[in-house]
Amino acid sequence: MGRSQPIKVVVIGGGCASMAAAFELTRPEHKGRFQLTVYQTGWRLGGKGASGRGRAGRIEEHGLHIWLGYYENAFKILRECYAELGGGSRSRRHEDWRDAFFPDPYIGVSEPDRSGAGWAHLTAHFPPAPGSPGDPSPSDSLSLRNYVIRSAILLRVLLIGVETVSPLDRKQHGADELASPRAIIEKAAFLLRYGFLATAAAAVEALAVVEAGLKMGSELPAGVILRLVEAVAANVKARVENWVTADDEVRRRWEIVDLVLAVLVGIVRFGLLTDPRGLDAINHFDCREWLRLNGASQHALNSAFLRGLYDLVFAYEEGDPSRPRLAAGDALRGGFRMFYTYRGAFFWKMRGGMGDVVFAPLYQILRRRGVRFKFFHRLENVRLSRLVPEDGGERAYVKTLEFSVQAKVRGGRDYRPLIAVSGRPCWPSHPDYTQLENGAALKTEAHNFESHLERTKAGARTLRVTRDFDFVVLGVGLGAIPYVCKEFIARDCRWRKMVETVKTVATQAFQLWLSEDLQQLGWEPPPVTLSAFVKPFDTWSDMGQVVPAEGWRRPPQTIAYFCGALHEADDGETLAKDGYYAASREKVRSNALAFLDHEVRHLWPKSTAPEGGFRWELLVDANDQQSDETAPARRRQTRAPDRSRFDSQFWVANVNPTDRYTQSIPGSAEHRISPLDNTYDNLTVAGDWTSCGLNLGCVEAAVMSGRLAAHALSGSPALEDIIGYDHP
Amino acid sequence: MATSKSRMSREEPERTGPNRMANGTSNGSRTSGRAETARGAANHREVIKRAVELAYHVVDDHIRQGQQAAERLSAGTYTSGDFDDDLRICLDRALKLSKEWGVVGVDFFAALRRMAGFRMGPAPAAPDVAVETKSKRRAEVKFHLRPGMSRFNPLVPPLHSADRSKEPLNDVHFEFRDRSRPVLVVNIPDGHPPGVYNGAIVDSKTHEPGGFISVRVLEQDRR
Repeated sequence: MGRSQPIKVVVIGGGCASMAAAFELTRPEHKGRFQLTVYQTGWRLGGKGASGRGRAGRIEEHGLHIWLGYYENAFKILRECYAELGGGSRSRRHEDWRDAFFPDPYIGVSEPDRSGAGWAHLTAHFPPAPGSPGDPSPSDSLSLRNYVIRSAILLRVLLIGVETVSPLDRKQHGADELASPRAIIEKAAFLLRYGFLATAAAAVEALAVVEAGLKMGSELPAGVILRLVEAVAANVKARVENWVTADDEVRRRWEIVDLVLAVLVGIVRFGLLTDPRGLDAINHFDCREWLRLNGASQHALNSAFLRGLYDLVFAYEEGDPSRPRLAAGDALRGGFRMFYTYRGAFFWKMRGGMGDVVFAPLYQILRRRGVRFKFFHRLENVRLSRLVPEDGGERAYVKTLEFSVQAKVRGGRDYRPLIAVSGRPCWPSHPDYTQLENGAALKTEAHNFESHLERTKAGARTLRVTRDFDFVVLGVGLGAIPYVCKEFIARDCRWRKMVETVKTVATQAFQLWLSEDLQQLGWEPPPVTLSAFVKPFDTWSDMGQVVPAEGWRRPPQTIAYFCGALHEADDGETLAKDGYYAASREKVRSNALAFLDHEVRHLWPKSTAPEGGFRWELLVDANDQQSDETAPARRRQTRAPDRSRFDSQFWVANVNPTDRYTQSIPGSAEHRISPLDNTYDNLTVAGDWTSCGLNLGCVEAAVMSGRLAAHALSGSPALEDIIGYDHP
Repeated sequence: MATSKSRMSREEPERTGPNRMANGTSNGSRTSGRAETARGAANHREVIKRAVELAYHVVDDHIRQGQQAAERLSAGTYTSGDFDDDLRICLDRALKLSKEWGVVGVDFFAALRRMAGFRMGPAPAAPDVAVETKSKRRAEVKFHLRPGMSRFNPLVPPLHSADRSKEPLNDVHFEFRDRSRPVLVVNIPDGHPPGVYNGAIVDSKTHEPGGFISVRVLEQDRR
């Protein structure tokens, strides 16, 4: 049916998923078919990817934001955004996406050293891969078959260079010897009888026998082949493991070999190559549990590599390090994509805050395309139509959207959210009160408009279906759903199940600006992103590349970001306690102080004072950036910095429901709601918490979800064009 | 999308979940299994033969070593140091083989891919079953049929809802019309309560399960 008026779409939330949906729906190809309005709490876009600018123009992030080389959908949209924006704006610093991102091939993990009192760090250089993420037509490597092949290549790389004995005479045997069931059974029994076998030989031999055995079909006793594979793997590991643990380098390699072998055994054993559910078939297992089932040793399960994987996705229930939980299928899918399908580089770091590099350009482009933005609008409730099935069988739908207006803009104008820092449009860390009615009072009262508990409002707004919107893209964080979608949860068991099983976790992070570079601090390897370090700040990334983007008179020599899960209960009761936010923030501060005094020396040996503890004078205080030249002398005259110097740095406790990280708990993926779900036929959902194919807490999953949401409303992009959606 | 007198509504999506059997490339292109098999078939046996050769030579070495160790054990001359040496040699050989394995690994795992066509786990649905839904209400049908079931006459007992107050769906059956592919016929009576109805697909002779079926009856009528 033709329609002369644009279809009105309300997009709620300003994170990656919402912006991706908005970007897709406003493509020029749609010819203005959709009229979008984005409603955003507070003063800035970004959601969990938001960043601001504080003193000295320093970047203040929600957490550590690094893009991975397999983020095909995210880079596609970002690159198209930059291309469309290119050459026009004098205020924009980066003309090409390569100015905003740079490839980083180094990754590291840490493990306790043999003394148990220190830490050893392993850094690896991942070689460049052809192309760049977001290039057209990605390679056809997104299949389990190719991952299995790449795993074999990985094993070869790991073992190259080890001394070997001279080759012995080889007995001539061929596959024809496995031509009968009797021969296969005899060979299987032979292998099982002699346990003193090499892993590689056993796996090769066993799998060759397996293949022959499977061809025999029902002629072969059930289970004999599987028993062979399992027995050989277990037998070999038990014997070899005791030897390799004596040599750290060999041990570490063997741990990877062990894990990869367990993955391969598991893929065969669970029939994943042909299961229509793909890797979802093992999502009810925890990743470690599944690997253990498939023969991984305890050493390998406790290895830095596996701990690093769990740390990377904050896979600790309620942030409790004693409760690691990560769905095996989602872990394998993410691991395969991460290690085997990256393009350009393993990591891609931003030369600025994520808000500056991603959300500012997106905001500019979307404005240019006619999207309207309503800042300081906080969603309170999504109201559904009455469920009256006898009324012609019409489906339930979103009837109204209820917002609190946190602040009004003077003169009824549109809020202008960006500021210029070093010639670049950026998001500030606080609202521009000069644009707001009663701005001076609001500034004095210091409201945190992004806080879940902040109830200040200047008004209310209710949007009604047809009058104000035709479709809704619900792009809020998962943590907001129980508060704003009460009717969904009350009447729809699928939504109830989703909020019960799809979990989020609070996180904590701090940023340091330091007066010495990494070598001076005692870190010898290249700048790195490292995980599996001591809790609670198990992940560290050197972010020195953003120094030029900040506004320091006397720049720091390096910048360090630390983050980890925060052990906090996931319930509304805790959240509502008086002073909870302040208490959480103080907890993070306390954690950081202890970490710097006692643990960071294992990364930066020269950061320790002679008497012990952290050298607090290393921290660069933005308030010291005086214009006159006497500042250094005045500093020398004052007493030496102590722990209070840390207060000049930046830290966050991400306990806000919408700031919590989306986890992939075993048994939860099947309960995610898809953006394609049409139960409420004027609504789609968007976020890394939805059923988006990847089902991990990351930018790529959010962007995939946003693209799916756009498809749900417009049919575009085609599902086949959402890279990685149709994936094992 | 559709427009009623009062408001717009989305079109029904072609599907609501990913295709986990695709290879994830853009344009939905899928690697042709037949093409791979054709390319790999020529060296398939040779690859396996090579792999087995490598495996056997290590097995024989180890057996020989083990036999020597056993002899020395029985003679009381095998010490823990001997064990360590033997183990080290074994490991060296294992690592060497792993290196060699890697060389054949690419082809080997191509063979593994084809080997996995002989399933050890849950089977994929039979590929050539059509679905015919007879219903005034909109419905989604999902089923999983073990290969081989189509050689028999698969039987579908009544499908039940978890809500026992709802009548089961009694008329779901397979039809074999002439020599074309079988058709799964799902009859949903007018006014049947919306909900999800599940059940097994069984062998009509042995009554052993050979698959499952799920029918979601939606609230609204077809347009």
